[in-house]
Amino acid sequence: MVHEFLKIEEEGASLEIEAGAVSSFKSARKAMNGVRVIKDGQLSTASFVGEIKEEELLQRCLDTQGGGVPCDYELPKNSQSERKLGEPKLRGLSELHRQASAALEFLRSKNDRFIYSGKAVSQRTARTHSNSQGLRHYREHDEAYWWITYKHKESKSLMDGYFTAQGFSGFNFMDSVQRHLPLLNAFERLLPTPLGMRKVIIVHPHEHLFSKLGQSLRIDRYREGSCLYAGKLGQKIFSDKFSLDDLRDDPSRCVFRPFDGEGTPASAPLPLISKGVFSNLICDLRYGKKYGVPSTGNGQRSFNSNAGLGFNGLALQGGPSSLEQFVQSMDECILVTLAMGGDTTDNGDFSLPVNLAFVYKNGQLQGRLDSFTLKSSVSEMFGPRLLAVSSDPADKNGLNPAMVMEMEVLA
Amino acid sequence: VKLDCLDRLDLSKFNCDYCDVRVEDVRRTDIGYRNGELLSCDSKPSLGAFLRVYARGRWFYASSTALDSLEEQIKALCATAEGFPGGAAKDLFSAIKPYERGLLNYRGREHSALPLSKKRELCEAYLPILQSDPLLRESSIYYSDYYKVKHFKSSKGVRYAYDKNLAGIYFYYTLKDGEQLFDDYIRASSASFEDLRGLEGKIRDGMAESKLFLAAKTVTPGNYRVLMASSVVGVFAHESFGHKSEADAMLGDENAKKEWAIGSKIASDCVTIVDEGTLLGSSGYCPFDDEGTPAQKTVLIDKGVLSGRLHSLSTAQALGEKPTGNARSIDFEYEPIVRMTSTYVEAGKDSFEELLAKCGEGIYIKDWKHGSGLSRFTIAPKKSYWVRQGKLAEPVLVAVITGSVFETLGRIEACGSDFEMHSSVLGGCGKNDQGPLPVADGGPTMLVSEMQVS
Repeated sequence: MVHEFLKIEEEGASLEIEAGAVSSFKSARKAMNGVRVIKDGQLSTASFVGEIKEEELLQRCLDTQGGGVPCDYELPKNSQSERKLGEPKLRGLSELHRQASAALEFLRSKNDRFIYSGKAVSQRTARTHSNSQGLRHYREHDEAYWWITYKHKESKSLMDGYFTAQGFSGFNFMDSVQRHLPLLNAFERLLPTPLGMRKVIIVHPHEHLFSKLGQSLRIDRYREGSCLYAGKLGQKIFSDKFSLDDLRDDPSRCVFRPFDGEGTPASAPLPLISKGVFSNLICDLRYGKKYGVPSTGNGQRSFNSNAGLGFNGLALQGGPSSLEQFVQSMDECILVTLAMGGDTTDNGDFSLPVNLAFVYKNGQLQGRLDSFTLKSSVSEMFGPRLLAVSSDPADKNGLNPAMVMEMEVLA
Repeated sequence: VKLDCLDRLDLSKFNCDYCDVRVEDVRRTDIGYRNGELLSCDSKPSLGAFLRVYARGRWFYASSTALDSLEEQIKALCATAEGFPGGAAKDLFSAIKPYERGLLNYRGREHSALPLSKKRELCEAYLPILQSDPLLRESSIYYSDYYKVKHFKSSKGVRYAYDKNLAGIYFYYTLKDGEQLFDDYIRASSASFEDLRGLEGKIRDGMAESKLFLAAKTVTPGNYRVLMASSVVGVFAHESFGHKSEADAMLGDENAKKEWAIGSKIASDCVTIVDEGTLLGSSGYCPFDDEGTPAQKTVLIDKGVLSGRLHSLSTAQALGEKPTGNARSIDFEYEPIVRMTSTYVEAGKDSFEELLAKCGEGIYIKDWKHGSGLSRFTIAPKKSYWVRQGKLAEPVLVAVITGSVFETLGRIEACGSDFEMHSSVLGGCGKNDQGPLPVADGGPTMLVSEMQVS
């Protein structure tokens, strides 16, 4: 019998901002415990949110009837590590309150035409992963983040936009405010929407852009042929400018998973698309055994579940020029700062409704656009229509840099 | 209603204007199969408390799994309150009337009491049907259930306990013909485990329909007349107007108070939208909210006229209206904020055939993957069909349908008589950092004169 414990302890503080004022304070403390047992080729789990002794949890797992999952792979052995990251600068409510209040006061003094709401959070997470085969990994980090939504006082929308900041070593609230202030000040200058094929900067390229491609990067779906790019491994499928990695240990982008949920080392970025060439698939221990390949460190596991295949931090590689340099270099571009609900059809056609965007001409911020829809396809927007990827994320410590693409603008 | 750690607490003795404690005891099961192989079978119990103290015009919260020290934690919150500058004191609690209620409807029928083997047998009975299709490339079955008991006690003499029991099964699959792929799903949820049996016909019919989409082409982007099926209308009600009716969005917004005055005409005459937390058995069931306010039926739009809003204690006080029982949190870790429960569009009179005829030329949106909503709402459809000459025609691929909330509410031409409510044990509503919150939504088939389809 092999058993494995995962204990996650979280302790944190947060405050809420409602209509421009701090309305509430919260402290939080949570213990999450999980155990997996492999016995006679069956893997069983038990978990508990709350205080519980390891022996009691292990016994619960052994007593569970009918929960065994077939398991023909081995867990990592004889591996130990301990890492701590971040500084507990913002751990206390007082410091969180001081910084948030100062940033809010600054915002109101610079632009009082908006209603500001949001939340600031500071949290310490300690994770202990151990098994009966000599594995013990401990990692601990402090993380702080906040977000502010803003709504113009004459707007009918629930919110008009947002900005955010995050970091393992705390962050300067004022920095995120000052970066966003020019956009707030341009908000009231509403411009006619320029239709047709346009240069568009997606400031926060995340799941709605990569979801369909992400299916092809999983070894299970790739081998089954149930994804858009099945059979294309090793082939050039996108532009030279498109390189996509799975990050594991990059605190500057808020990714800290030097070992995956199964204990497989995963420190270096895993290149998935390299200069447009489909270069790797993600794999965990289970599929590694099934397909005769090593795990890539992509076994994701919560304290209360068995492991499953997933990304650690799916992120674009930055290009040579900064977002600011791109904006300055283009005669005209649309900067998309808030887009929700986009999706891709099963043949790769993509639509993205945009809630907030701004127009720049020759580097000068011209004004805001009313809501519109962007249209493209996976092969076009990551292929010939991809103009550039910025060297830096729009938000300090953000996961992804901005993407510059030609896309069709629909009213 | 009994819970030792709450019984022992005397909430009247603390140095604050108000305090309450919510304890959530949840037993969840998740089972997953992929291509016929069992991948996960997890029981997931949790027990934790959320504590609230109101003092000097501000809220102070704590969430904790240490239930043996609730008194000490409340004292600590009161002490924290002393260390911060006070806010403007508000009278949030004077209208609260004490009560003690226990609504444990599912005792003896808890899904958590069913053996894992029975739940696995349910899933495995469906595997042969799901995997028999020659065009199948990938299939998954997810089973999930939970039994939750929520306990609440406040310093104003409110004490309740209620339970909630929900189970669901989801079939996901990918079909492939040549290079053409189509991902689809079939799902069912119920408060009764036995209702999840007998889905074989639904799976067969669903997969047969999915095959039609392997030859479908993507729609030419543009504005179309749109006929939305019941489940899509539920999402529309939730995303387009439900979020707009959450009163926290109006805090500090003097303009909104004028523009969204009760009695304003904001939608077509045929539109009535309701939020109702008392629907036992639905995923939106919430007979008391997380501040102790009993649920009610709140008519948000009555025949096109703005009639109500969703409130917590704070938003009701701020807007001079009454709490509606809509202060909800996703679990013991979070503070209650204004949320929907079961939100639906009331049925109209037209049959489906009559609505098709009224549509004439357009697109029928049969089901959906996800939705979102600000001033512009978005729904990502799964299966859609052309409507030609008042009849359903060939399938069409659509990435998203979208439109202005305010314009679209005025463009609703007719509602059908075929009302359905839709619950879900996976997924739910996301707001701020809280999601998914179990909600339900529903409505009849509905005809909209113009929406953007792309």
